[in-house]
Amino acid sequence: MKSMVKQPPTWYTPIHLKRYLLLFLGFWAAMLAGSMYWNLHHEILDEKFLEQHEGVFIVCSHTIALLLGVFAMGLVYYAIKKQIDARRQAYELYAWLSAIVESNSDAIFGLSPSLRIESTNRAAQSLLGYSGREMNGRSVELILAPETREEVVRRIRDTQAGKLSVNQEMVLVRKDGLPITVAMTISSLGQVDGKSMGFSIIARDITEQKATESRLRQAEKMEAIAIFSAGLAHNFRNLLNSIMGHAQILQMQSADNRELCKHTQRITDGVKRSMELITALLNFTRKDERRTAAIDMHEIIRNALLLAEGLAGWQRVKLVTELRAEKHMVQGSKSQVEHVLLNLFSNALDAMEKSGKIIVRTENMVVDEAFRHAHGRRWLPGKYLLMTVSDTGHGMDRSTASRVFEPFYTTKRKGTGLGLATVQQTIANMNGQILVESEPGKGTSFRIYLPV
Amino acid sequence: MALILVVEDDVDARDFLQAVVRKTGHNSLMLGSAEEAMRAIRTVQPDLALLDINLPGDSGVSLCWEIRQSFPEIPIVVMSALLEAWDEDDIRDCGANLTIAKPIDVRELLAVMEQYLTGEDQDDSQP
Repeated sequence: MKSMVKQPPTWYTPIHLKRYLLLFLGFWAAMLAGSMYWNLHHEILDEKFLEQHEGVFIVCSHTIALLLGVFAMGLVYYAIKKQIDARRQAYELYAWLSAIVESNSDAIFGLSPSLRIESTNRAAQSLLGYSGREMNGRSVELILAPETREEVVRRIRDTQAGKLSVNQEMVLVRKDGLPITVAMTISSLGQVDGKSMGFSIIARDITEQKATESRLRQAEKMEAIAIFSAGLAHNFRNLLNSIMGHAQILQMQSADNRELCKHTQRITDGVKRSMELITALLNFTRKDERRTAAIDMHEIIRNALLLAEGLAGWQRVKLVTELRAEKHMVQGSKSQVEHVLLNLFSNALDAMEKSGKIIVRTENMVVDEAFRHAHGRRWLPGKYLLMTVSDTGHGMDRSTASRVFEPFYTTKRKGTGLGLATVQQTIANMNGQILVESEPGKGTSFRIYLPV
Repeated sequence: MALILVVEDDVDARDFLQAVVRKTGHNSLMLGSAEEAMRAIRTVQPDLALLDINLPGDSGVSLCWEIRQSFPEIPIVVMSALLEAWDEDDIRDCGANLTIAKPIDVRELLAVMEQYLTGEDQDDSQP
């Protein structure tokens, strides 16, 4: 908060100097009045009478002067005290209001009528990564995402005094460039003497909430797919059963007709491919109730590499393994983790048309509060094994990379769109996380974090 | 010549199973529901039962259990289009000798029929 009053006022505060001077002058004015009174007596009264009662007059005049002085001092004291009390009250009110704003977990910004940032609270500074000084005096556009900048500025200007523009979902941009989704309340601070006082913005970080909502939606989608796919698989396999059965009978009855056999073989091959698809769908949606055990990731990686030799095109790639993690025992299902690796290897091979390199690395890392602050609260704190599977293939653009874990999203002509969705599901079942980084033309990296 | 009881609610699948049984030269009793099958086993004794376990409701399981109670010695082969939904123990508990996943491979089915009808493997060792 920009501070208007830095210290509570005291008797020593320089603002009272003028009043002390007044007190001093008042005292001397009173003394002057006393001496004038003395002189007045000299002029009016008989000299002899004065001589006889000189002592009385001196005492009287001094007493009057003193009383006047004390009275003047009292008046000035009272005036100063009243001023101090008023200022102290104003200071306390200010401090109290500041504390409310400062202690708020929502980010609060004070804007001038020309939409410059005039004040920010601690939450605002920590949310955006700027210091108060870096933001003060800058246009509010500094913190707005370019795509919604114009709209927010228009909304602020349209906010009338006394009316709120509540809970607008907006995107702010941190100093490091990361976007943050916030629920924003904009209010006008009203007018003084016909002039606008400016605006306030209260922003609540809902990035995590949005991520949770999205995960929940994903979970609901998965649940719906699971129910749907079980029903679908049953009906579909029954249909395939008839097709396959009749085709095979036809094949047996016309064993000597090679042309016909070729066609019936096509039918049975088609049925088998359809079967694979439906089985992949069921595997994807099936809740894993298999028992998990402590498994050695390094051993599984080595096994998976042996299994991968069966993959088409495996021979044309160069393989680099850097298994550096000291702690490599994780909790999970061996066959499922092997499936995860084979899936990633198969995708890497598809991404490298001719030759290329697949790099498998492991290392240990710790998820601490700082990491959670940067990556989200869904990360459980603790020690992790980080396994990275990178390739030097054609990579993906941002929009493709953001959708790779989505069920049924595929860029392959014959893909089911369930491979990476299943991989993500498996990692989530192990309380782990999977992230993807990709750059067109350079390659793709999958980073898998598993608690050790 | 043996009698094979086939219980399958899907007409197309039933036709194909009938063709397979015919090919083996055995007799078949083709039925479309558990109720019909329950009535039938009061009067006939099949040599092998081929049952669709996914009959409406839980009737496939009940039928399997009923046949096992009536004829402890006959082999029962259950077919399912959703084998993933069944636990091996559940199927064994209801008395089945073997499970076959749909779509059925005719050669596999012929081999199974051959195996059970020639009495090569009449024990319950196979799940």
